[in-house]
Formats: sequence, C-alpha cells, structure tokens
Amino acid sequence: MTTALNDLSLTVRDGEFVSVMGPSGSGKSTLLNCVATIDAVTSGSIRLAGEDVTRLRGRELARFRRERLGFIFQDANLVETLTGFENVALALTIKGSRPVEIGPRVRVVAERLGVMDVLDKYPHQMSGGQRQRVAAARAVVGAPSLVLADEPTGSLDSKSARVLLETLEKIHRNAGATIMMVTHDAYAASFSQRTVFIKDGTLFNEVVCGTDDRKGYFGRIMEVVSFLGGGASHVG
Amino acid sequence: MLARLAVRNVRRSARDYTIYFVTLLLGVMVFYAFNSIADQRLMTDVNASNPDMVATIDRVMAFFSVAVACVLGFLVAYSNRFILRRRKHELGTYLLLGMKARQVAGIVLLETALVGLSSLAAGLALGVVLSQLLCFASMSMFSLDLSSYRFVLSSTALGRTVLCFAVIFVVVGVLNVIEVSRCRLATLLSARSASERVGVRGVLPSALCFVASVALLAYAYRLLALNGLLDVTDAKFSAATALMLVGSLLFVSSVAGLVVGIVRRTRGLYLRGLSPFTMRQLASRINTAFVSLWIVCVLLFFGVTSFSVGMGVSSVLSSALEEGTQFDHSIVAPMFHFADLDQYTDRAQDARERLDASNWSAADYFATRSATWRELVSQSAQVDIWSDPDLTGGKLAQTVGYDVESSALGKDATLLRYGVSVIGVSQLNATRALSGHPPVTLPAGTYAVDNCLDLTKGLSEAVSSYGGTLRVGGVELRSSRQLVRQVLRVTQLPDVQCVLVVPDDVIDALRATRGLPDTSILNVRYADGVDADQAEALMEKAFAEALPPSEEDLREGYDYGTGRWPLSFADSASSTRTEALGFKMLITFLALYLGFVLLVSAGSVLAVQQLSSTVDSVGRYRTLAQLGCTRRQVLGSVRTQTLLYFLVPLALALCHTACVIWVMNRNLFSALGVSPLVPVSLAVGIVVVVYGGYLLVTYLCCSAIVRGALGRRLLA
Repeated sequence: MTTALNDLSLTVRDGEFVSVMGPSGSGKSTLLNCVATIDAVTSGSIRLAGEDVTRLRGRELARFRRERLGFIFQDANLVETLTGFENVALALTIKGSRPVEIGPRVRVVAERLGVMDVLDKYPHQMSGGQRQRVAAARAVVGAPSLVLADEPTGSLDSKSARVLLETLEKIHRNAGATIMMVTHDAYAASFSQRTVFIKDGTLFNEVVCGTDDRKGYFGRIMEVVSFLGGGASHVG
Repeated sequence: MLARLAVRNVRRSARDYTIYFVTLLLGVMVFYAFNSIADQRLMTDVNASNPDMVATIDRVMAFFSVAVACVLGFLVAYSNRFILRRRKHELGTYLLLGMKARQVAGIVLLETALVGLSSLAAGLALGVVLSQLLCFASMSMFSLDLSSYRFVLSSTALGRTVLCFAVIFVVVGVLNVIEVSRCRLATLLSARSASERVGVRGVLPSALCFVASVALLAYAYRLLALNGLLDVTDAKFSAATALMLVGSLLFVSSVAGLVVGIVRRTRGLYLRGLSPFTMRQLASRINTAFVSLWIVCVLLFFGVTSFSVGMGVSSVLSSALEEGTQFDHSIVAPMFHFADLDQYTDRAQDARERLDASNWSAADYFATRSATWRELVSQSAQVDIWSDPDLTGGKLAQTVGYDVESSALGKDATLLRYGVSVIGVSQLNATRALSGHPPVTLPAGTYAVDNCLDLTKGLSEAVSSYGGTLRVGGVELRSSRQLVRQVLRVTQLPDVQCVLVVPDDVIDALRATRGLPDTSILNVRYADGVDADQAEALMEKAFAEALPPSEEDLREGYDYGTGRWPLSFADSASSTRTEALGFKMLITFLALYLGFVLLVSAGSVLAVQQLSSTVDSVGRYRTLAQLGCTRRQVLGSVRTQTLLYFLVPLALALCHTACVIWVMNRNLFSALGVSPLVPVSLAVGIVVVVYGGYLLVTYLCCSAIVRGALGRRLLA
C-alpha cells in the first residue's frame, strides 16, 4: 500500500478561497477526495466547523455531503437526462427541501451565475462553459459550508475558463462561500486568495495573495511552479 | 492461450452473462421437455389405444417448437449483440495490443461456444427433470397408476434440441465474427465515451399520440367484442389486430413524454427526492427503446393470453367430460339433412323402411342381425330428436319473452333459425334410467325442458317458467315447470340446448307430419364382464354383422355400412375420454410451453436492456452519491426504474389480455359454465413467477452493478 498523503496539515478559514496545486501524483486530488469523504484516511483527522469528517459512517456520510458540501468536477458531471433547472434543483430535492422553495432558489442562483437561459436545456445542448457554470450553481444552491472544485477549468477553453473563475470569485465574494479548488493551472489559482502546493503527499509551500493584484500573485505562483520543476505545467 | 483468455473473460463478466445464461438454460429446458412428451412412458400406454393422438401431439409440439426456436434464436442474437457492444472497448484493447482481428473474433466465438455449451448441457439436464415432472403430471391427469412410471430419455427431443441450439449458436457465432471483424479500431475504442443522446418529445405531440393510441385501442377492443373471437377469418378480427399493434406502438412511444409533461407541471409531486431523476431516467429509456418495448408488449400479450385461454379451454374440457360419458357407447344417425337434398332421397326412403321393419327400435335392428351385439350390449335406450319447423328457436324466445339480443346467445345464433328440438318423455326417461337418473313425470298437456349448455340456460329457464301455452306439432302445451339436465349421447362437450320434452302423443303427431326425426341416437351399456379394451372392437364387429358395407363404405375405409339409419357415427365413452384427455393435455402443455417461452423472452429482453442501461448510467449514480444521496435513495431509484420499466409493457399487455379474456368469457367460458377465475389466477401465477423472477434478478444485478462501481464508502 502506498501512502498518498502524509504529514499534511492545512487550515482553511471560514469564507476563504484556497487553491491546491501540485504535480501529477502529488496527492492533491486525494486530499480533495478525503475532504469530500469519498476517500477514507488511514490516520489523522479532517475537521469541518469542529466536526471530524473522518469519523462519519453510513448515512452520516451522505448527510454530510448533501448538507455541508458543494461539488464542482472537471467535466461538470451534470446528469444528461435532466435539464439545467433539474440538475441544479437536484441538490435541493435530495436534501428534502420543500418543493415550493426550490424553483425560486434555483432561479436566484442561476441569475447570479448567468445561466438563466439554459435552465430548460439539456446538458448536451449547452456549451462546456455553460455546463460548468450550471454545475457551479448546483454546488452552491444549497448554501454549503464548503465548495470543493476539482480541476473545474480542466476541460474549458480559456475564455470559458475565465468566466467560470470569475463566477467562483463572485460566489466567494457575494455569498461568502468557502472554496477549495484543486488545479494544475496557475492562472486559475490566481483567482483564489491563497495557493498551497503539495508535493509527494505533503505540504510543500504556500503563496498568499494578500494585497497584491492578480498579476503579481500569478507571478509568485508561477515562481513556485517552475521551482517545482515544471512538472505542474504539463499535467492534465 | 486464446482459450484461456476466453474462459477468463466469461468468468470475469459472469454478471453480464448471467441473464443470458439463465435465459438459454430455460429455453433449452422447455424445448427438450415439451419435445420429449410423445416419447414418455405414459404415451406408449395412450398410444396403444389412440395412436393418432400421440402423433398429433408430437406434430403440434414440433410445429410450435419451430416458432419457439425462432423466438429463442432472436433472443440469443439480441442479448449477445448487447454483450458484445458493451465489450467493444475491451476488444479494441486486444486489437491495440497487436492481436489480429481473426484472433479477437476467435475469442468471441470461443466465449459464445463456452456459454452456449454449458447452458445446453445444464439446460438438457434440467429439461430431463422437467420432462419427468410433466410425465407425472399427465399420468395423474389420465388417472394412470404412478407405479407404471419408468424413466425415459427421449432421443428425438435430444436430437431436436441439440440441432436447434447448434444452429442458433452457429448463426450467432458467425454474426459475432462479422461484427468484430468489421469494426474499426477507433470505433471500438471510443465506444465507451459515446454517451446516449436523450430522446425528448414535447408534451403536446406526446399527448396527441397518446390520445390517438387510446382511441385506436378502444376501437380495437370494440371490434374484438363485436367479432366475439369466434371467427378469426372475419375482417373485424384482422382490423382489431392491426389496430392493437399500431395503438400499442403509439402508446409506448408517447406514454413517457406525456407522464413527464404532466408530472413536471405538478411541481409539488415532481421536486421530491430523486423522483425527477428516476422519472427522467425511465422516460429516456422508454423513449429510446420504445420499439423493443412494443415487441416485449406483444410477446407478453401472446404469452399471457395463450396461457390463460389454453388453461381455460383445458378446464372446460375436464369439467364437461364426466357428464358427457354417462353411457358406454352412443350410436348416432343424423337425418335432418335427408329431406333437404335430392341425393339423400333414397336414404330417407331407406331409413323409413328400416325404422318400420324394426318397429322404430335401433336396438332391435342390431339385436336381430348381430350375435356379437347380443353378447356385448346389456341395456340400451333410444332417443329420437324431432323438431317442429313452425316453432323455431327465435319464435320460442319471442313467445316466452326472452331477450336474445342482450343475452350471451346473441341474435344471430343458429339455434334461433331452426325448429326447436323435441323429444318424447318416455324416451327421455329410458335414457335417464340408463344413466341412473330418476324419471321425469310429465302430466298430460305439459312440457319440460332439457338443457346442458350454459349458453342456453337463460332461454331454457324462460321457457320453463313460461305461463302461456306453446304449440308443438299442432298440440297446445303448458309448462310443467321442470328443467332437467340430461345429456343425450356420449360427447366431450354436452351440447343439449333447450330441448322440449313432450308427452309421447305429441311425438306421434310429429311422426305423422314429419316422417323422420332429425336425429336418432341409441345409447348402450355393455354387458357385465365385457373387457373394456375389447368392447370397441366388438362393437365394430357388431356393426359389420348388422350393417353390410356398400362399395362406397369400403372405398372410404369402413368395413360396415354408415351414413344411414341407425348408424352414421358412434362414440365410446373410453375413446371419448382418451381423446378429451389427450386434447386437454395438448392444450395444457401448449399453453405452458408458449406462455413460458414468451414470458421468458419478454423478461430477458427487458433484463438485458435494463442491465446495460444501468452500466451506462453508473456515472450518473456516482454523481448522485457525491451530491449526498444515501444508499437507500440511489438503490431505491434503481429499483423504481427496474420495476416501472418491467411494468409498463406488462400493464399494456394485460389490458389487451383482459379484453380478450373478457370476450372469450362472454362467448365461450360462461356459455360452457366455466369460471374464468382458474385460468386467470394461473396466468397471474406464471407471470409473477417467470416475469417477476426476471424482474427480481434484474434488480439484484443492477443494484450489484451500482454498488460495485460506487463502492461502500461513496454509496453510504
């Protein structure tokens, strides 16, 4: 058995937007999956608002995922048989929200993320960027404590990627959502407040945006990326 | 090397092969069992007394087996194509690794052969067991001594089964090889990523289609009710069949779109838990596969209908048989047609002379001419059936105020056009005495009614309770209010329909005006000590002694005179019983055979589709679990989808079947006094066991696929 993550300690503040970067196989996706309770840890703990998620079992796991987490995946993972509206609503219906509340809440989020016009479309009728923004809407419509994004721009062209990142930024700023984003793209990371680097399963470095503008922040992220050996620039 | 790979593949994709294997197994099993019927020990017994019947059963089974083989062949090809399509990526990998297309095709062929051979072997083993069970069942049906049972392995059935399935596998193997070698590497490899496009239809077109389908089906039902299912050559029947097919196709193609449209508009119902997901999933399945759902629906309809109708007919036969075999032998001479055609004038003349010469007694006629008869027959009773052309059934019904049009009889019944049958009370009582029933006392100037058929029960009751007078043979008669039930000859189905029993002087009057009765029947009992097996032969000998054959008789293969009074045809109770039981067995086995095979086919088509759709949807279930759906929600959705996917075609097929059974019941079962409850509950039983079994296995497999793909942690 190989250990994907070891001796890793990371604290994310409430309302913070954190990027996780690292070369292929560094364990960044494992980290995200552990936080998401999809992978189990062999030792150590992950606390979310004081609750140790590694101790959750059975139905508590499902409850934790639907009550506390929002997910955005690399390939949107919308359900192809459902319309945009239904995909966003899904996050609420499985929670057991009252049917009368669902429509308005979905529309508020869709309005904010600019996907009102695709609510009645099926995923295959949308562009990649639209799909990803609908996925973002689905992730945040339930007002989760933590939004997890796994390479959300991985399958988007640069323009769509930019729109999505601005959307995430907006979610973070307006709704005060806590976001943890795994990415291999320094440009994507530059939209966050802090970027942590993982190498060989452990925390390697971190870059904080602070008062810097995005360009400066991006530059500093790039320095670490090149220091890491360029490995991060070509992984996908 | 290739062989090892093939074995490993089969073992690894055991789950994919499960349904395929089970279906083949069941197919081989019933194919062998029903083809082996004619060779069973029991049949060698029956064969001795009735060789034609055994040959008939064997021919019918062989005939339907061709149809069954076609259905099974289609099924094997269909499921196999599904499995192959699912494995395209894997096959592409083999090509990528440098295997030749011929080798890959070889692997696929080996796998097909492996599964085919093992299911053939296992199916034959089960088939042998099943055939012995069938043998026991039919032995008890014939009330044969179970101790005479002997194990029989039918080589004919074995040969037919192996040949049939060998042909199927060879065809499938060839199709597979063609399919694999035609494929380009790129398409094989990209097979996995090609996701299913969702077929969506608008609510309005769906609603229009749906309304049209319901209208077509309603009209088809109405045509079927008018046709009454008694004449399948009627244009109404073919129109009803065509409309049902078209209506069903429209129904399955529109029902999903309509339901989705309606449910979406009732948000309170819609946005709850996984119901939007489940419904969309199902709707997209139904919309993309509506043609195969339609075929499944037709298969189910034929399966359930042939099974329940077959069981119904078989229970009609058994309930009627006892009543129809109260005498040992019946000798019947119909003469109603003698007066109609010139060619029969000499026969009428002949009959009159013979009747006068033997004092109107057929028993005397035989006894004075045949020594064998005198030894064979101890008692006899003759009944001559007369009619008064002035009193037709229609007129009778009108007189007693019976509304035929709204009765089961219908206004077109043959009975209503001809003179009502009339028999003399003394002949009736002699017949009743022969069958051990008390005599009927008929006061002068009255009549009684004899009826054995439920179809004419209402009319008979009305005639029996009629307060006025009826004019029969010129005599005015009142009802004695007696309604008796007495068969007048040996028969599989008692056919006495509202016969008037009148004082003997009325018969004398009819004899004076009509000359000859419509039919003359002589029922006999054999003398004590006559060997039942010999009786039939002795009776033929008596006929030959009493009635020397004409050249025409000899040409037609009779060695005694026939077609004239007192003998046109004769039936013995024992041959009638054997024939009826043989017929009953044939119908029962055929009903089981077809019902089972068609249900298995329908079940396995749906199972294969549902399984592959679940495999394709694993990604969606993963998303659901990541979003926080519980294990119960996810598996519940799988369960609901499987259940509804199986129930939609079943519900439609059962609607059609209900219509057919209803019409059948009105025109056949109730006329014969048989409750449809037994065949219907048997049909429910077979549907629950076979179709329900497929449903259950499919759900378990689907749920295992989802659980396996998502893992215990994700699917919490």
